[in-house]
Amino acid sequence: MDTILRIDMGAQKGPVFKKEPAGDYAGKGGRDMTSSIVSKEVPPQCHPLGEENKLVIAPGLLSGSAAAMSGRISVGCKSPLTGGIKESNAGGQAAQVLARLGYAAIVIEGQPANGDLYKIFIDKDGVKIEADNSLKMLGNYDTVEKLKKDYGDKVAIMSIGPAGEMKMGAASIAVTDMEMRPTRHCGRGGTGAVLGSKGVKAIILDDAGMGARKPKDPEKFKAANKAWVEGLKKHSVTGEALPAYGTNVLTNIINESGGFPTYNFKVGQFDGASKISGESEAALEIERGGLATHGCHRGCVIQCSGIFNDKDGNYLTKQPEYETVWAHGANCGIDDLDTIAMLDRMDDDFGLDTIEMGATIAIAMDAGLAEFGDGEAAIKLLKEVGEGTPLGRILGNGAAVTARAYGLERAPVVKGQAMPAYDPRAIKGIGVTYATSTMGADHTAGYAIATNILKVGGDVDPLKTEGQVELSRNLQVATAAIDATGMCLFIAFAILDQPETFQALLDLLNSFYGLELTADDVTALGKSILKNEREFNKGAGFTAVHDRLPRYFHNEPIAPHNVTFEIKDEELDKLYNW
Amino acid sequence: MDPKESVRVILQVEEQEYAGLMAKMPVLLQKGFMVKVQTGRSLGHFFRRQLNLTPEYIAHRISTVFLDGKPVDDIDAALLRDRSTLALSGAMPGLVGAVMRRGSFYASFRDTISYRDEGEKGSSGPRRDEGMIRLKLFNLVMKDLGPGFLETGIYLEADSFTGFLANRQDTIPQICRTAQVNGTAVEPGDLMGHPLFKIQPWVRLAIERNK
Repeated sequence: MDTILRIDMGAQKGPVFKKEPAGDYAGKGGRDMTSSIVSKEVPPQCHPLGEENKLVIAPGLLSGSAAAMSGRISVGCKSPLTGGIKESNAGGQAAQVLARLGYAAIVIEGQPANGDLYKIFIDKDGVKIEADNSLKMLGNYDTVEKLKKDYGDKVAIMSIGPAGEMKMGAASIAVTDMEMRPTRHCGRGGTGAVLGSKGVKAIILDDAGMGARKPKDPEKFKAANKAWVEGLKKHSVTGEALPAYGTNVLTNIINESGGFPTYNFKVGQFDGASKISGESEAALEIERGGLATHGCHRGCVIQCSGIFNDKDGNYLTKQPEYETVWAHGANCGIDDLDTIAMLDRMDDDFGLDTIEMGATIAIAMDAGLAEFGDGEAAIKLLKEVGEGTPLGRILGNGAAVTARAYGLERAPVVKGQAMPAYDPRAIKGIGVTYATSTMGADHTAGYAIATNILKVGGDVDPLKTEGQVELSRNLQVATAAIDATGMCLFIAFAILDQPETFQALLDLLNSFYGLELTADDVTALGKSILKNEREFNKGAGFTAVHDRLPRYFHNEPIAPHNVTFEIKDEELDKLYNW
Repeated sequence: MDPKESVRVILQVEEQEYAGLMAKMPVLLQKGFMVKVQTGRSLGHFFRRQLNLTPEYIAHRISTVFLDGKPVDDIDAALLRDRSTLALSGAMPGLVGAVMRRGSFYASFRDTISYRDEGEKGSSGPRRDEGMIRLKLFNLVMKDLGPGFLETGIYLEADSFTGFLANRQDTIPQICRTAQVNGTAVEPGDLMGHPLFKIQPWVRLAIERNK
């Protein structure tokens, strides 16, 4: 994994590629790679949909190896949604296949002069870039079916749907799962629009003839992987709750806490929560012959995904995640899992971020375009996005744009990106992360990873209000580091509770690369990633004013606890003081 | 609520159908059901003495506790009151899942909603008496404790129960061998329309399995 593939889509005689050594980017992976390249090579003031932006695709440091859970692929660019730097990652098969092909990154640059749409095929023998306008405006499902006929069913495909071709701010990049369905998405921030602006519809990756990447010390690696898997399986979150119920196991908990944003963040509890909970979803999936336990990539031992069949027992979509169930469910007042699953399917097919679209539809409901709770109306609004109608183009550009078009103040966004499924007034610490993350409102930017081991600037007193800012900082640093490895972020829970499992992760990295990394090195990695991202955002015009929640979160209490977001601006501004 | 105002319902099921019937129950257990408790006692007392849970189970399995919507850190300081709502869960994923856990390192993230006993000033807490609380069971705790509660009997609002039956008109009669209402045998298929559910506001539901 020491080669970077550069593809210039705007070359005079048509797209060209070159392979080069990783050079200054050697030893980087995942988010470290994407943020390094974007911050170094993309002018921060460029237009996100213009030729100067670059789309970087990078597997993680352990992707393509035998390490369990190493199947995340990162995509980075300047975001058309936020205007700042973006890293968005997904599961599925692409990370492992790209890594086994020996690529540390693909960098897609420039823009085709004509209106052709391209597919890029990469295997061990080389790279082929071909125009294929028969793919134009196909949904991701039809795109994958078509490409399977030409390339077989053992490949991994990254693709955009109509939303990406129409360069909408909420457009995602789909990644095929083990069953070759386009169900995993680099969802946040409009990465699909950037790929669409480069004229690329699909990237087909075929690692036939390539084996797993080999560690420097195979015996130590094998032992570390064994300890790693044991740690993940024995932990009640990664070994039981997530496999049984998926991420949607959170619905009942967050609802009970009063932090479950409902009716466009108006209240913190939803009467219909138990109907759309992970427990109810799992029971329904099993009843209909689907699966409540399913992995999104080979080597996943947590298996938090599932298969959701319709009433007739036919495949409809992958198990909708907590964020999707919240966004299209409680936030829109919808308490029907079949409606939510249909919306999830449509998001996957059109190539849209489910969080952004759920937040957007809720704003549309607040604007009077539909009633809260009207599932049929929500489906119709989403159809307009896929069809690219004038209303659809507004909606497809996300919550902030839609709120502006309809004159609404109450748009729950930071840096233009919609908030996920936790109200920051009830759970203030997550609000700190929403406000300060380089990515915009992002719940995964500050994850719980052994912060009692990874210390930044000394120990934190978690009981003090100021401690929340420091905790958020620690978490953002740790998460950035994990995002570089290709590991699924859900390893975090086992690492949090089991120091021996965190050690197993360090041992995996060290034995694979012949290093002697410590927790301090992991911290340093996370800090350097965030530093690059902050610098880019500064160059793009971001200031402290952008590290804030919308003002109404400070003024409008949320029921049932009737609390507001109280963290002072001065505290937020201290987050990056290290 | 007065337990005397409840209709006693027993669903009887063969051993081989038991798992199938239990698979239908999550919606009732998540929404919550009423149980008799000793008010004025701590949650720790309720777990150890009333539910007879071991210290290991309490420590490792009931990782997340909400009392009246507020995350609880110290189960021996949190006191049960009449009509409280208690929700029990295993350890949860995500940062926010970790935040909500008992004694979480990240508890400050949710300090404005954390449970603090706010009894009347100068009082020594709620009076010790008999009362009822709503108990909600989620995820792994639901799997572990739900069957025991259903075998002992749970109190539900009558319209919740009939709503539950209405959504399962095709399946419950197939799974349940017989049913009883206030001691009288009833065809499971006829349960939903039973006149007593329109008169009494509460149902006491129990499941009997024939081994």
